[in-house]
Amino acid sequence: MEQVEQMDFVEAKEEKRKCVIDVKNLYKVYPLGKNYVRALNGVSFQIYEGEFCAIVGTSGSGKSTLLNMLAGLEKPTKGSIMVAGERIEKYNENRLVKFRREKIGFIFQSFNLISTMNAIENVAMPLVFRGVPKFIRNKRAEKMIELVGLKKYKTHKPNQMSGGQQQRVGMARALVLNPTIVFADEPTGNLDSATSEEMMTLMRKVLSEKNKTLVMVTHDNDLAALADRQIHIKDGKIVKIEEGNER
Amino acid sequence: MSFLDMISMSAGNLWRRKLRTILTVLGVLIGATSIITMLSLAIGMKKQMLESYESYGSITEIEVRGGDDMGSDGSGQLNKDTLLSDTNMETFSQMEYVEKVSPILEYYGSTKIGKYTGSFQVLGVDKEELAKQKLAKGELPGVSGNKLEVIAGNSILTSFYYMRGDEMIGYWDTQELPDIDLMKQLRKVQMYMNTYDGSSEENSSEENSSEENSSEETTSDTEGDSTEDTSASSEYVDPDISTTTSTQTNNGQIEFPIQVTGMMEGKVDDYSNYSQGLLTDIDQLKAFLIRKFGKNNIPEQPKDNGKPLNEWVYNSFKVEVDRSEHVEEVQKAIQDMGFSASSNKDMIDSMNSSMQMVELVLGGIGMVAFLVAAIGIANTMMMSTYERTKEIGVMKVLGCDMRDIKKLFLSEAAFIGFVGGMVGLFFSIAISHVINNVASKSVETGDMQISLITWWLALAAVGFSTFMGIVAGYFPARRAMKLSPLAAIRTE
Repeated sequence: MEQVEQMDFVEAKEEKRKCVIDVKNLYKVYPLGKNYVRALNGVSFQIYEGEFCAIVGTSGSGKSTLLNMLAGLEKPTKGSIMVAGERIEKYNENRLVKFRREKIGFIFQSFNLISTMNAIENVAMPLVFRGVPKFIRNKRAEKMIELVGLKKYKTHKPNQMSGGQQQRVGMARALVLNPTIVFADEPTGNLDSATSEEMMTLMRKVLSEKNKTLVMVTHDNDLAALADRQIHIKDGKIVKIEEGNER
Repeated sequence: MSFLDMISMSAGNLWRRKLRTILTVLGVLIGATSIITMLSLAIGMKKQMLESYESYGSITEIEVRGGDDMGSDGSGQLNKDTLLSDTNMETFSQMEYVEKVSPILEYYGSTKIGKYTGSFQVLGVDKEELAKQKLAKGELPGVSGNKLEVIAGNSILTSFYYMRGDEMIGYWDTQELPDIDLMKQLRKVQMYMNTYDGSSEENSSEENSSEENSSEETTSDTEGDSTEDTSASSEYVDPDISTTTSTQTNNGQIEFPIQVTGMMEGKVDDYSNYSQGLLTDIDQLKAFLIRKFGKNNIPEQPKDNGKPLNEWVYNSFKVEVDRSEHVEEVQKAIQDMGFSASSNKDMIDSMNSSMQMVELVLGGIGMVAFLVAAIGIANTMMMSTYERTKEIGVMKVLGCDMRDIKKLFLSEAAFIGFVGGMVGLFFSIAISHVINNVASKSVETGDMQISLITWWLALAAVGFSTFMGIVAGYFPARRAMKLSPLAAIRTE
């Protein structure tokens, strides 16, 4: 664990790049009994198109809260969030659902595949919510599954696949809607380190191919080191933004 | 989300928890079966009752009788408005909802056969009514010659009695029917008749009328020549009657020669409108009367200031209304015109209200079971939302519309209700068959439909069952809809 004390903001040099996430002065306060907990305490940053950005922090640092708010799963107490051209902080739940359906892909830590459905059906599920006819959505889902290298497993149920394979299905599911931004919440949290490595490489490859923005939450500094940029969070505040390896 | 996806998804979800789904469906099945069976009993009973009432006379029928004292106001002046005349018959048949008006002429009479005396009605009804009667043997009356051809009601023999000392002994005392073959032994009937003021110009007016009333006259002409007619009338008319000069009515007995051509079908104690009388074609009766008494001196026909009317006056009309709902209205209208009118409507109404009670009670019993089933559905769906909290969260994160989630749960609940209702319906049909079989064995007629599942009951039951499923699933569905998408993120 590397402890960074000094407030070392790195200026975003690439002004010409398109900004897809713009967070300004974000606060989130939870009531906890009689007290209030400040999960986020004034956070501002930008993320650009095609960027792979990691939000790093220990548990309880507020990183998950931040991700949830970016994905429109939670509402901020104060501040503004602009994601993929939409100001989502004032949206109601129905509008948020629509926003997610149109702009966002999500990869879960615990895969969250539907156990009764096979790989193709799982991948095709977001398309079901969009009302895409079965024939078309199965074709698209199949293509996605091939993209993540699971061609042989496309009719397997989740319990017939390893964790890595399941997460690849999860990835295919996040990408099938062709989202602007993909959010990943500790995507390798349930995987061993070798599979994690493999997983991250694949994720980078696929996303950069499609020029997608990826925002990943992790507590693992080694994983975060793979990102273009790391946003370190501690106690609800950004302590460091670190430029990683350039692509 | 398309409808088809919704259905296949909810069916898939239900199938995932087979045992629980089947148990819940079983609950609905029992509820649906109980409610369908109970209501089928109520419907069957109602139908049975209606049918038994129908044998007493149709439920769309109004019987019209004359106004005050057959139109006579005591001064010899006729009040033609309330007379059951051909004119008024025409008026009735012009009324709204009225399909048909048929006149009835009735006479009372008695006869002696051996030691037995029987008294009964002789009724003239129209041809259609006559043709409706089912005969056990013989045939319908043809054209009457000297003898009035009639068919006899199935329970007419119960009105025969004999005297033992001062006691009258008949069927109801002994339960034994007199051994009489009416078709062979009934030859004549003594009619009790009132003739209105016998006019002295009988013969001349008869000649006048013979030109007017062609059809009846031709029959009498072809059947027998006029000499026979006059001889018959002078022979049978009681001399007491013909000689009286009272301006009021005269009472007496006139003998009718009768030929029974057929016996009506039915057991001896089956009651119907005509079961205790002799029935004949009204046109034949009219012709017979004209031949016997002459056009202007027919018994029971009122006269206006001593002059005969040039139309028939009947004892009653049977007014057929198109639907039973209109009976009351038409009945009222006829009563307002000054006639007395009665129908089975009151009887049917009271039956309906008592049947409604039965329906309510039976339906209520069935409903209790159904309510329990509905709670079962609610419970199952509630469990399902708890169990699938995470899954619902994932769906929400992946962009499933909140309304779609609600619809998904509602359709699952509706599915349980529908399947339970359908299977329950088949069960009820089977049970209904069993009930009817058992019931049929207990009665001699061999056909007893106590339980009747009409198509609308079947439809309503399945529809209701589905609807109850939706109602029961509503709160669980709302709960599912409101679940936070964050549930998907939490790791257990």
